Amino acid sequence: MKTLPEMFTTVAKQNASRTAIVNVERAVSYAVLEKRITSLAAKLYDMGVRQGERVAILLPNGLDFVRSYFAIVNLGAIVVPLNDHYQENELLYFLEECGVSLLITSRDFAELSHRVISVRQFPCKLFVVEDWVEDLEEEVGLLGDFKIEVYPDSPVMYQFSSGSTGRPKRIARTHANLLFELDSFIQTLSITNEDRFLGVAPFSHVNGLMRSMMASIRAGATLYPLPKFERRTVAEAIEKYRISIFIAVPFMFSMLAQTTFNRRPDFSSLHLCVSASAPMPKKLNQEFYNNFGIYVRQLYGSTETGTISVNLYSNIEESLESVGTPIRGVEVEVFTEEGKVANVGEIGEFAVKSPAAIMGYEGLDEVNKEVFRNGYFLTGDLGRRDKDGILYLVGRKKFFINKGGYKINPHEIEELLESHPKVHEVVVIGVPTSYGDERVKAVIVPNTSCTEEEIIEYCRGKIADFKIPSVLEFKDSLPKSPTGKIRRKMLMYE
Amino acid sequence: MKKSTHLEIEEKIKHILVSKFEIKPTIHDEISSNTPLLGRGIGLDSIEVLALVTAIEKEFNIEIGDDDLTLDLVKNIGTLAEYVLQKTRD
Repeated sequence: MKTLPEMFTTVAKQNASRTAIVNVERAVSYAVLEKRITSLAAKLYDMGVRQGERVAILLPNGLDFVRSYFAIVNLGAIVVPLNDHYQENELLYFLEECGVSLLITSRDFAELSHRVISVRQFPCKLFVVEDWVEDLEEEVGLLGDFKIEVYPDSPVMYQFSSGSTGRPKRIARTHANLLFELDSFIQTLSITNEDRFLGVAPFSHVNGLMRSMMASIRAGATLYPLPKFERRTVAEAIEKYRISIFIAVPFMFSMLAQTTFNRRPDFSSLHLCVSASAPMPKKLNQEFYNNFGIYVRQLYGSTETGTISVNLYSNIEESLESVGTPIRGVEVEVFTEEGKVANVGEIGEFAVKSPAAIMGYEGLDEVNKEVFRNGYFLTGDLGRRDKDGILYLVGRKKFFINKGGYKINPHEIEELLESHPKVHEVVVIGVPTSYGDERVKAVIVPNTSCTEEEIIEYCRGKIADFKIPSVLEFKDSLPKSPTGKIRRKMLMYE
Repeated sequence: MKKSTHLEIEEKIKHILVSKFEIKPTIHDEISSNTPLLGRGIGLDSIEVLALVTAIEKEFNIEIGDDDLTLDLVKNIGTLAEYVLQKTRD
């Protein structure tokens, strides 16, 4: 299997009658899912989607997301998954940056989508899933005669990462990258087609997409997607459907652990709880265990490399803070600031070598020279390795803010705020909360008298609500180094 | 457990906002029952509201169902307090 379409065809053949997805209580087998994907692909082809074109998906987790993803991929087009919290500015940015020619969405987002498309520089069609009257047999028949060649090194999707250098960079991972990661992930975690995945981490983000949606399909397992995180709905689903694998973010585990349930839900079916996208505090992990009888295993990854490591240790309670050891086929090295390999226990920067990783950012040679060296990708994350090779993250060189499992790039918010006429200078930082998350704090040097309300109102509608600063501080000046660089760390630890 | 009044519940919610969410302690004087929780006003976002609801459940030993968790419920401290009052009376 060298491409995702080949992978899906093979898995569907091996598991034809098995349930692929349970969507709103309806079970869809792999055979039916394959047919529905082909039907949608035919429709998209009829709308003009061709190989290499970019098609965005603005949908919540569910059958429509899954079939849209594979329909696009089957046509050799490139998926641009969009966060359904995004507002107009953000959507416009991604549509323009990726040159999207078609946006697939639902009625809930149709009005917003129309607004965004209407101001786009280049034409972009809109496909609203509920408005399509599907004739399954006809659509499948239309595509039957076409053979679309898809290559292992062709890009599958565009994602964005700020890496360690601040500005968002477009990343294209290939069929080969993704298939390697999926195979390695499945094998390392011993996932089989008997497993039942809860898909609540957003599919628009790499964690939900690769480790729930795609992993479930690759294994021939059953996926139970949920469109949003509601604590009791999640708990009920785990119990009702006897979910065996729950991959989410620390915030979700934290909320479940802290929720008052009249009757404690039965999570005994779970054999794997995995947390990714942000560090999981030990205290919260212990709280989750005390409530539900299973520890959460931390996973470490990046948009550029995919999954890097996971903690599968049997004596997990003694290594809760660890992110484990690299998954099969992935190498991790720890480099000091001088570029030497760090000693055991010595803190350095994690560098990753993996067939699942990109080779570089498109068109950014100078940046690539900084972050790709001798086949390694320099993650910007600081950590150490103990004598048993177990990895521990201790911090990061980059200053991302972890909010509800989402990674917020402070530079994006700083740029927006700097455009406010009353803002002279601004720094945006993350402030830890007591529930294992971070709040967005903006420290502003105003030009003239300025209120918090003015700042917040300025952000509203331009960026997702979880990015809007919830803590604001006004200062006369920002701490700076002798060279004029803002000392962000000083503000973080004030 | 002694049943709280609406006002007492509001004060406890304000206390949670100050202690868990680092909202300014001066909210006790600055905001009213009708000050919006989301967006303008107190300025919580959708992720923080979930954390607030979870904290309220714990504080008052009640269960807030997913179906009850609507925008109307989390409109302001007053609406939340009213809900808690009803729940604690049941």
